[in-house]
Amino acid sequence: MGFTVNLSSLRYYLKNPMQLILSIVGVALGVGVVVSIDLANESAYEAFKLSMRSVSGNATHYISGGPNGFSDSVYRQLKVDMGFRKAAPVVEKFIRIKDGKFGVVTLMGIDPFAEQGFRNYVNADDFNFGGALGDFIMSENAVIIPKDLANELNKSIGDTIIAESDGKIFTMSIAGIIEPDENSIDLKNFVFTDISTAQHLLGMGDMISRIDLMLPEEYEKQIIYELKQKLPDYANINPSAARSKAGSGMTESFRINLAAMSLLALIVGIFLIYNTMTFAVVRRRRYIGLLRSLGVTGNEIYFLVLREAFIIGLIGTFLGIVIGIQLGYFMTNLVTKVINDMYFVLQVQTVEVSSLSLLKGMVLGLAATVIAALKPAHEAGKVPAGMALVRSSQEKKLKSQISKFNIFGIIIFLSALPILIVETDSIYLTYLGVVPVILGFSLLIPQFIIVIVAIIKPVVSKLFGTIGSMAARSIVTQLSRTTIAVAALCVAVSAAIGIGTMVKSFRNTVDDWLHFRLKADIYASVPTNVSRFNDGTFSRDIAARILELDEVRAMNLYREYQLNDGGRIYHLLAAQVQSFEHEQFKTEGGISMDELWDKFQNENSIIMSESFAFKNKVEVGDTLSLVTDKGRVTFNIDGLYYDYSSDIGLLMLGMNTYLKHFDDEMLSGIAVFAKEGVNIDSLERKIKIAAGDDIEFLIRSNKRLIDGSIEIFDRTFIITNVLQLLAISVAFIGILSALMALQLERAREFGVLRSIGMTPAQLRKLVILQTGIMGFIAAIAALPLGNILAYILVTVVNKRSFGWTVNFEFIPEYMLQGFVVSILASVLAGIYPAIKLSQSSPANSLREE
Amino acid sequence: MKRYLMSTGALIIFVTIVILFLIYGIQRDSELIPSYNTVSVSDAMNANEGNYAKALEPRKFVFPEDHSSHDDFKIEWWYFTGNLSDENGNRFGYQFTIFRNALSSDSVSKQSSMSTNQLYLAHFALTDVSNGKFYYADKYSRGAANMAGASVWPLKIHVEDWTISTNEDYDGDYLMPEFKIKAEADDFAIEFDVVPLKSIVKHGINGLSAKSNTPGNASYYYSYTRMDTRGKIKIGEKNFSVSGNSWMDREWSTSALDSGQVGWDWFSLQLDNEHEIMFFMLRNQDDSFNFGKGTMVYPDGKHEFISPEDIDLKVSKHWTNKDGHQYPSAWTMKSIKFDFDLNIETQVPDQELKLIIRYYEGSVSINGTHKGQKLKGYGYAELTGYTN
Repeated sequence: MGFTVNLSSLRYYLKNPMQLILSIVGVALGVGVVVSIDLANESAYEAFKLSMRSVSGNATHYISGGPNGFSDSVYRQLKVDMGFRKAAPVVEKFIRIKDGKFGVVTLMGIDPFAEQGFRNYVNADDFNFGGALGDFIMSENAVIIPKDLANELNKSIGDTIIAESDGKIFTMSIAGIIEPDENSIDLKNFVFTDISTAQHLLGMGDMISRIDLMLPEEYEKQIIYELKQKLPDYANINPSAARSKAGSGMTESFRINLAAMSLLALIVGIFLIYNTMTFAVVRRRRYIGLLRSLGVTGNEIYFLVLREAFIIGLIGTFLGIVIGIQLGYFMTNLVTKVINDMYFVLQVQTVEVSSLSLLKGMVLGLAATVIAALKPAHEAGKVPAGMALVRSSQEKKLKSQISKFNIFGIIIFLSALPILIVETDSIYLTYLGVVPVILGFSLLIPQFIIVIVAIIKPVVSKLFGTIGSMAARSIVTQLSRTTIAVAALCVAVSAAIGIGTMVKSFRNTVDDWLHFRLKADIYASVPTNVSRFNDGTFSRDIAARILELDEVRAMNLYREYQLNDGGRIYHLLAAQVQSFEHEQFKTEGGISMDELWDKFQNENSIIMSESFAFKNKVEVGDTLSLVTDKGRVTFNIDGLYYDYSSDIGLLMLGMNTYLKHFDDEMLSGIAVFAKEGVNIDSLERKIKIAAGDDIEFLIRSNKRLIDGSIEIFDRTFIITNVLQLLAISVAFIGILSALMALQLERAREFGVLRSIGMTPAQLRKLVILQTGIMGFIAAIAALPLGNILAYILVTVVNKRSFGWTVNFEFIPEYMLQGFVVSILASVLAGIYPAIKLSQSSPANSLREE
Repeated sequence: MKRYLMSTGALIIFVTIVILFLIYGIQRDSELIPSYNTVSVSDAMNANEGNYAKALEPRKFVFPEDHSSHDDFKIEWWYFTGNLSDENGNRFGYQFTIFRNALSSDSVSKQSSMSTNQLYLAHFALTDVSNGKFYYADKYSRGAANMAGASVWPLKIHVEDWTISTNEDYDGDYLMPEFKIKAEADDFAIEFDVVPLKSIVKHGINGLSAKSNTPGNASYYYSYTRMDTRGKIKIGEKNFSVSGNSWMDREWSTSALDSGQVGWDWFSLQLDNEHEIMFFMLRNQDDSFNFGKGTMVYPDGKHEFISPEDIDLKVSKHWTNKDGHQYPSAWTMKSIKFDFDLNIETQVPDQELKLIIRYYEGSVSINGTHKGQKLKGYGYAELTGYTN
């Protein structure tokens, strides 16, 4: 008998293939989006760990110090004076390869004699001591590159590579090509050279970037303590990059937000399954009643429906995983781009198709389907033997419950408030707070429909006559079905409006901020590797030459530096500015701008960006201890300012203060104010000439810098837009399916209408009009919900994830877009049933009874 | 009902297995990383011949300058070996050597503190005779940024913290310098004062020691054949206060082995009748001796050249290392001219230094007769070229 029932299930779905396909595609897309984002996040994370492992090798800690590295005397002290054995000096810098399109690689200068045990890439043992080692160590530009990079650049031994660092161009000659013999490292983006060659090429003289250490775990603390006692103050001991969470922590908020947004697509998918299963049960009510009278128990029916849902979920999930893997490559690319713009240099070689990601997608997909099918299955199990429950009783039940729905809806809606208001670090919890908002609002939809229909009915009947008023009325009479479709459409459109409005509000805020902040006429710096960090360096001589130009009225000097304090990254911005007026500052404790200016000039005063305050839970008036070249220094946080360039947070300090604590005469950027009436283009050219030929200097006018910044902003939000688009696609399919189901279910009703004289054309009009009106209602409902969601995203989610204050704005274009999508989707959804229903003969439709 | 549950369950299990299998397949594919063949760095680069100074004729040694380095020669070493004991009769042997190896005869002109053309290596080994244990370690460093190097004032040769030096304020006789040697490895360490008991011995022709019959294939070579040694040995957590005799060899050259020569057996023997013997034999591929010579040092410090035909050296025992390489472990050394008959045997079988260059540097004990008198003694044997 089970077989017969299974066959009948199959027959039902084959008879309604459109339903089946739409459901499967809906689930597949939902799962696909979740899986692809998970794969992208994991791949980026794995690539990061891999590159950190490749860099640190077996090092457990490293000594760092100073913005431009530190003297090799620390290394000598460590090894010669203290007899410390497990230490390897490194000169390291990102460089850009100029030939070909390859981009940024790490130039790693190592001492082959000290490498043993740390990294096994370029080791003294690999050389024959007579010639090759000597050539490698003594050459002015010999490098060894990994085979992958050689292939990418299409270069072989003896060829040269032209590269740039801090604007300086130099040539390296390939002396050797290596292939890593371990799979756990990723060397593609490394160029190895002797430490002396690296010092020479980068103009570092006797400076080194860091000293890698291998400390035995059991004595780790003791050794660190001893080293700190003996080494100079600026020598800072950090856990190795591979061990430190610093890097991965930077991107955590970003990754969680992506994952949360990807779930949105799946939630829309759940609506879809719910709708399909409900429809499948309703359509077979007579048949189910028959089965019951034949002795099939309610439980058996319940599991039959669940199993159907499970199979749909299974096929959908499976397809979703396949889609997810394909989409994963695309998403990984986007995620990598954002990380490179915002956080650090990262090159992801492979998409990690981890079983865990796929399993996550599978469990989510199946669980979502089964949960969505629980209620329809329960309903099916309750169908009494031999008779079909008349729907009108259901409608009556719903109508009598509307006030209950309203109360519940409001309560659930309001229950989101404590979650959203209470201070929490958990981004997941914050997103969870969005759920009651959507759910509560959905419960208000029946009331909403009644109200809107009451309002528009006169208009519709005037425009479309009896058919129009029929269409409007039928939406209310079938409230139990239309509510689900309208709610699904409303949620989907709201999500689109919400995300769009959030991004646009953010963009406008950033744009205002850029215009407000960037007041100089021309900005100049050397190329950097991470768009949001301007930490390349050039010498003060260049700035001095530019200041001497007749056209220059004044100049601001900047130095940006990422300070690593025991594994924690601080982004410092030392500024020597003309006036504070072009910065937005918020001070507390009644300090006036003049006082702040004074302190900023002379004392250990710093001003933090909003993100910094948020990420580090500090307030204006607090102190902050930082390791400097002169030892640990306590700074007073005297102000807070708005900055949208980094979600890690910035610390701004006066150039004088910076120079007092750091032995660093280099600059990262200058802002030039031109004299009245000076032609900016010609001044740009003059600055270029003043900078000299041997440096690649990026000179940008105010407008170009703002445009460039906005471009980067847009680039970082591409992935958000893609997710929004995917969520809309799932929603679109959902609406199509839901409305189609709704109309097809009414075949008998339409049969009656046809038999009492309605023409096929009138019927078509009725169906399309009805779905159109539903689309309209959903769009109207989506306006408040969409903006509420946007408001939550802007003021709560964004603030808790990144700490930025963004001004919420109503964005009419997204509301209009939502409106158009909504009505378009519903009208389209009406076309197929309209045609199908108007073609079927009324007798056939009626015969079913 | 049960049937439904069972069939549903079976379906779930079946599909799960299928999916896991597929995932596993995908996973496998993603791990299909091409296999790697290491391309040796040395293969990728060319050796250079260089334009080094050569030991062609005897030179006038000047001290302390000649105790320090001669960077225009290709190779150079400061070679200490010794046999010591503590008050409880525990016997120890040690070797502490610093090598200098020029990477090129050209100088470098890079804007870099780490730039150099000199490489320094140190080998440090300790034989714990009583416990039959052998410890060894090495260190190497570029001769730049004062990480390793040699200076004259104060006299100091070092590889990182392993040093051979005189006191910084030493103003004694540099012909009879009071050396301090100090080395610490992970689990063993030494710190000795080493003072010559006999005057300097210049080998070969006034310090010019030929290594084959090819002119220029020679080194400058002098020794202190008996040096009073006192100080501390540390093995693990145990400290030993020791005394005994050391032998120091100083040699620099640009010579290499002649073709056909694969290695050498080299001996420094300190007899308890105040005689010392240095003797080496270079070996051919077929293990036959190719070229050899030595020096006999008398109690008053006078010394005499030993030519190969004066010595009858025979291997009487072998020791095989774990990799199957065979080293001699006992010898008979006889001389009619000098009237001695010595049985030489390694004190601990395994004294092989398994470093980049593998060789055997082992403490030996001596039993025998000299001019009819029974004698004992200790010394060192260096055996190279046995693992090629």
